[in-house]
Amino acid sequence: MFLRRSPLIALLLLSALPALAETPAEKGLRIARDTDAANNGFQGEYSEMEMILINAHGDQTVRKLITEIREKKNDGDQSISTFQWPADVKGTRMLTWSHKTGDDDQWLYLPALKRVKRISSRNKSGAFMGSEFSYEDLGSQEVEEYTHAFLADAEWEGRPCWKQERTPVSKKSGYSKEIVWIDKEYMNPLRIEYYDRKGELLKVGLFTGYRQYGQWWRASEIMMENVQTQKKSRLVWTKRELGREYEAWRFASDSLVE
Amino acid sequence: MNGKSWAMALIAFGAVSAASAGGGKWESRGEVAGESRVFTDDDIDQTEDAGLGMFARVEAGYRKGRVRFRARAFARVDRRDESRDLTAFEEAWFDYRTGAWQARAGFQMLNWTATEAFHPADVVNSRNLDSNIENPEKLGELMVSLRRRIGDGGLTFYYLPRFEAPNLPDGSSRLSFAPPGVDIGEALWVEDDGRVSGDSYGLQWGARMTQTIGDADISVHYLDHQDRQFPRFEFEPQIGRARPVYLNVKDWGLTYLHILGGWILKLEAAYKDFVAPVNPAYTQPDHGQAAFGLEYGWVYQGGGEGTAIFEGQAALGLTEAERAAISVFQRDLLAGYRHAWNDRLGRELLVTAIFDVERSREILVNVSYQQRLSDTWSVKTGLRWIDAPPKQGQPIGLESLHESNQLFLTVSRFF
Repeated sequence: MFLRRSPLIALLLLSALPALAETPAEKGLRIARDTDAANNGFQGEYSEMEMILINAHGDQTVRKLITEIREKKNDGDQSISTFQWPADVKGTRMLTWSHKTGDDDQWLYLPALKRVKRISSRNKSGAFMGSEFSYEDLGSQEVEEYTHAFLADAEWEGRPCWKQERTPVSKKSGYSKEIVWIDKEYMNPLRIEYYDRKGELLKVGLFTGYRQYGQWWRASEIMMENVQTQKKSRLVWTKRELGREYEAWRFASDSLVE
Repeated sequence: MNGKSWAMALIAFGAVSAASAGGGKWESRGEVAGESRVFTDDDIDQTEDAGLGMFARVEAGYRKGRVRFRARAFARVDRRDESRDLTAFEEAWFDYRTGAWQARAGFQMLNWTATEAFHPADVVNSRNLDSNIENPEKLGELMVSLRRRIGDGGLTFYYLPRFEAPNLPDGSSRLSFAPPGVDIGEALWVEDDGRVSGDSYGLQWGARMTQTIGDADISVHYLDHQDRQFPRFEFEPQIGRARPVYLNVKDWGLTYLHILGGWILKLEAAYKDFVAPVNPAYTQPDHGQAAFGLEYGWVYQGGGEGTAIFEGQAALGLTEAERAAISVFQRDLLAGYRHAWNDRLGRELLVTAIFDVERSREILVNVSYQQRLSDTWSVKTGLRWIDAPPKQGQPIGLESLHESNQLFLTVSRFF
């Protein structure tokens, strides 16, 4: 009725619609925030993991670790990773206080020396335990640590996804950009392509075996393949609990000492 | 049965009692290693230029609710150099935690350090000085500690009833500061009344505050204890023996570590106020020590990491002669590089050089390399080169170790 009466006004409104619609950056940021919100509220998470390193010839080596995560309101999560295998690093622990902006705080506990050593988190592109995962792949990935851009609605393995591009804010990141396929139901990635600083595809991460824990979905396996070296690493969760309540003192640097 | 044995028996009884109640969680780990070291020949018959031994370290822990127990001990047997044989507890303690409070009793090993090579603030534990010159092995200290968590840190009080003597290599060791052929006798202690005693029990206490503030980790401490870093010696020439004499000292110290982007700034400082001994021959001058460090790390394209290390240490409030006599490192600089391949084998190379900036030609170079041979076996090898020719008369400080160059190889089996 209104449009029939005022065709000129209707034309003006229609021409203004693109300005009112989200830009790719706005939509990308909104999706990133929505997925972050969907994954929050778990309080604490306990995980036992195996990391299988596979070289270009197919030879396999197993690493084991336990990770405990304490969710913090208004800031990034706190986590402790305790190395279980190989035997020479058994008992070594790494404490990370991740932050939404700025560098994370990190401490390393060396059991042979009974020493807690604070370390710089800048070198996040270093290889983790000799694997194809870097420290930044496994760290808390806060929304604010990237700029986001929505690319397209897509499918991966038959599941509806948002295909996003995210660019690390930190110049110390090992990546120039990441292309992420985010599952619309799991609200978590199914596939991430990592591009090196020269802009060439470096690694592809595949997230599989999603299981539901209460309201949260978590992948039970990540396969990371370095397409430049043909090496692969599989990270497999052998045990996982969400909703654990951790006391704050456990995540103090002094508490790393056994 | 002496006091130390009683303490161990009590801790063992408590551990067995706690474990027999069941329901808790045990964990263990350890290593067995074959060690060899070879020094350049010094043409002195009384010294051992080679060592070939076995080393074992075993650790066990138990946890049930708020109670924890942990014990760790090591033993070394050297087939060629018996003076290196040593068995020591590094830890054997009970721990109880409730809310913000934590109490721990038994033999403990503390690490109060921020820097990599020079450690003026890390003064609690005795050391085995026949191990690694730059960072000698620590021996457990019997103590009771009570900690209150405050903010992102805490305040801890310590009571240490026993004086634990360091393991000093005797004159047959190439790492000894005693002349060849001289044995090291039982320790003597100058207590806070200035009198010498052979009794290993007495009052030692201290407190330490730690806090994380933003990008900085800070600690301050006070200790009233028996110093073990700067011994005097009572020579008994008729039997070819020297007895170390350790003085009571009031120790103030601090550590500071600050993350500045990719840089790590480190500082350690201490001030030592020694007791005035009745026998003036044992006098040690009061003095300060300060160490600073800078570390910068970067990542190579393949995921490996390089780290440049710069450190320095100075003894403050002493004359040049006092500084030279008091310890190996008095006014020194360290430059080093660590390369970690971050690969499946955990390969790592460390190269450091320590220069004395006050006394010419005093250099200690250390090169070490380690890697895994499998998931349970690893190897570490390297060399240490010392160039510090005596300038005049009796060698002092690092001069005592001039040309004690060594190659070492350790093959370890972890479990």
